[in-house]
Amino acid sequence: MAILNPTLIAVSIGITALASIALFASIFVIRCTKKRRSHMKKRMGRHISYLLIQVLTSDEKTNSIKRLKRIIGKKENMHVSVRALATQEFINLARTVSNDHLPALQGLFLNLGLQHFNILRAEKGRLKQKLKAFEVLSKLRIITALPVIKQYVLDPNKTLRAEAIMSLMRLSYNPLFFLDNQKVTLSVWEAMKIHGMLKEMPDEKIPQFSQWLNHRQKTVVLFCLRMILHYQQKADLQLLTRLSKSKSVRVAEEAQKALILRKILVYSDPDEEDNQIDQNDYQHLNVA
Amino acid sequence: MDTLLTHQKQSDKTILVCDPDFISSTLVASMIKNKLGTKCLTAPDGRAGARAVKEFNIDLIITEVYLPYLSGCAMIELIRNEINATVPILLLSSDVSIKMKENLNQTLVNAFAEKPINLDQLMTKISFLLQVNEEKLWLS
Repeated sequence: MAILNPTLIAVSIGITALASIALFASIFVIRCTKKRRSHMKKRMGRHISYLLIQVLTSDEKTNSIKRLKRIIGKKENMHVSVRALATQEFINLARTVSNDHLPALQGLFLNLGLQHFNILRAEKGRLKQKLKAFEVLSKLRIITALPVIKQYVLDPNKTLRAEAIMSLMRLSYNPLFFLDNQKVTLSVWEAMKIHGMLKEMPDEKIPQFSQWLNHRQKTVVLFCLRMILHYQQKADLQLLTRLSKSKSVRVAEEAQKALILRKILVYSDPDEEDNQIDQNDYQHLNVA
Repeated sequence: MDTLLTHQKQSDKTILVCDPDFISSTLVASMIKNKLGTKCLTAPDGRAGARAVKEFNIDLIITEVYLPYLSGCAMIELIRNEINATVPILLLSSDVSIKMKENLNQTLVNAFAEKPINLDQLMTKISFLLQVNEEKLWLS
């Protein structure tokens, strides 16, 4: 049995105590720094949003713009990107005010030079940075960002793809032009998001969905059939008849509904040439 | 924005803005201060809002429905029943549905405004409510 040396025991206890003190001290310092940084982030974010609001609402704008330029010019403060914070505040403000005030916000965004920073983030940033850049650039109608965002429409990442689609819908004149090149399945979530965006758009921006009924992606065809029914559009009779005999049960069902809608629309319009259509075209439909 | 310049300055009034969202409350308060010149108080929750109505002489309350601690609807009922039955209330919310309008009828809420905020329309409603309240007080 080995005899324990009291000096060795004392030394080992001392070392353990010192190591644990050092460990706790470093944890404490890290936590304090994190807390200070998040507090600083919150305070600076509020300061930036206050100045942005002053520019929007006050008649005396020059002073606030100068202060904003001075803050954003610093780039970083305690490892917090001031430009990223300002971008977040622009997003929050764009969500809060109605579309009438967006041109003023857009002018301010360009004046502060944040568009280059965000286009760069959309190109080379991480996923979250890209999503935020897409949102701010599209909400503030920065048309120069269009080619950058277009690259992500066919991205394998679902979240990125959906956000890119939403952004393009906000930016582009023809909101659903990306459907022409849609090679991957249009998920239910994406379809719902697109529908949500379409609801916010004026009627004149809603496209004719029949142009995509020949699409090779069944999910796109299904989405277009549902949109035809929702917006009560009149699609090509032969195309609908062909689709109503489709192997896909859901496509066939929606096509039959669209055919019934077409019949109603044709008969309700007395000037319509299609009133002369042979009734046999609809005979295969079992309409109650 | 030019239409806002026509609003009358009413520096003797006090308006309470009750909204947990910092940007919304600051935006509305800043707009009111700059265009109407009135004193503006902000409260982040329903309890603070009700306390502010008790302690100060408030001429108009602008409130969100979704408030922490005490909801907007509960706060409005409390104010109407126990504190001040006549103060005009403007409900500013993203959810101003028909059902909500039915629940909070004219006896409780005087006007509704929707989010996202249209500052011009909101200022028109605020000016109108302040004017009506002033006329009511003058007649009584």
